[in-house]
Amino acid sequence: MRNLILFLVRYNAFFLFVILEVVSFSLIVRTGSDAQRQVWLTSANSVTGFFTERYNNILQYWNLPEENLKLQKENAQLKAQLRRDKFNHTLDTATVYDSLYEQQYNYIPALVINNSINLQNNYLTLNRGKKHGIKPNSGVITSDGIIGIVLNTSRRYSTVLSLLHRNTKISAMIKGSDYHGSLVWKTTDPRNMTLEAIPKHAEVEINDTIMTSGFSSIFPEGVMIGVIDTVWREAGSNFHTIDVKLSSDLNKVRNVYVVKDMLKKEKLELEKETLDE
Amino acid sequence: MNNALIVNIVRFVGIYLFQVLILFYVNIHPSINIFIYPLFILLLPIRIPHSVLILSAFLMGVLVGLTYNAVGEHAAASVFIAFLRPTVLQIMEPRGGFDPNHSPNKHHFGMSWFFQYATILILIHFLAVFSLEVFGINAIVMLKLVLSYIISIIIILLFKLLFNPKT
Repeated sequence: MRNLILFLVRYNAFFLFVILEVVSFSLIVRTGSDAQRQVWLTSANSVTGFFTERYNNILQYWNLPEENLKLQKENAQLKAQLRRDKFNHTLDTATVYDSLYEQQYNYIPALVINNSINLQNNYLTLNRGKKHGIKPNSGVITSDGIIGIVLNTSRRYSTVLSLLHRNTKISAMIKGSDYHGSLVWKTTDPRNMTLEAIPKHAEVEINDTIMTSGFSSIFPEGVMIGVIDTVWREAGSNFHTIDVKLSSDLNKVRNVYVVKDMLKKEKLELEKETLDE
Repeated sequence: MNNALIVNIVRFVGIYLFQVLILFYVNIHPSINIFIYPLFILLLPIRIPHSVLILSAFLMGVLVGLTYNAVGEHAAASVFIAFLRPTVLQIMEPRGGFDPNHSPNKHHFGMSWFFQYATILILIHFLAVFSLEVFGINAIVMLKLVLSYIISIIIILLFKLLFNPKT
């Protein structure tokens, strides 16, 4: 026994070598189910994994510019696939067929994709154009009131002369009295317009409703424009100057309808013939 | 004694971190694996008890193997060269013998002696690692052995030029 212990002590290094080699060989991770069992012996174990992950987080900074470019490219690609960025050509217009009443006005829904209110001459852009049947000189309205008049159309888009434009002139009338005048924008306040050419003998009250007259074939008759805010009775003039508070907020306009007058052509042709005679 | 212990602990940590934090991420070629951690085993003092030498090598092999996902291969190879080291030193013993307090390094024995000493043990170590990876010896193993040895020995010698302590 004593000799055995002496033998072991004498050759301790050799026995240690043998033991550790056996341990090492058993630690060699083989593929297959063994690899699963011995996952703690790989860099996937929690301790090594923790440090490897932290260290890789630091290393990632070196690749950031390249990564950014890659992600940017991918973002652009993905954004192009979003429905929001696709041009939607579907239209929902409803025409009601009635033998007694012929449909005169139709409405093309559109979205405002560009808008300004703080310039002297403001324009809007809609995501509907020729392809959807929009023609210049069509009215643009919302459920709140009128917005403007279509100026130009391209295949997919149209630009709209906003109410807030120096050249805007809308034929308007006071509800219930049939006096009509011209609505223009003279101030810089996007909520106020001026109604001109209402004769002095007409009775106007504050908060009377102003609506479209339908004379110009741009807007149907009776679309809300706003209410009377102030009435100026200027001496030496035969007409009132009326401040109108707009019912539609042009700052927040989003979903609009483009008015399509299907009998416009007939009306204009008749009027032209009459003038030519 | 304490001085040598501290130097070797610092060397252990330094070489380990250099191996797993820098060399692990160096990809020159798929056939080139740069291992400099056997340098730690080579530089342990000559008088160190053989069992301590083997245990230190085992520890280093396991730690490096964890990062490389090859614990067994690195542990086995490291233990193997630790076991062979006294024999190699005996064969290479210069005239006049070793001072047992010295590390076998170029400071005491010169560059060419250290180069031969390192080459023998590094080649054995690499051969063990690469052949254990595939459980055999083939052309790819030999290619990896030669390429990895060349790059690794260059880095090891540079390492020795940069850090050349007396212990």
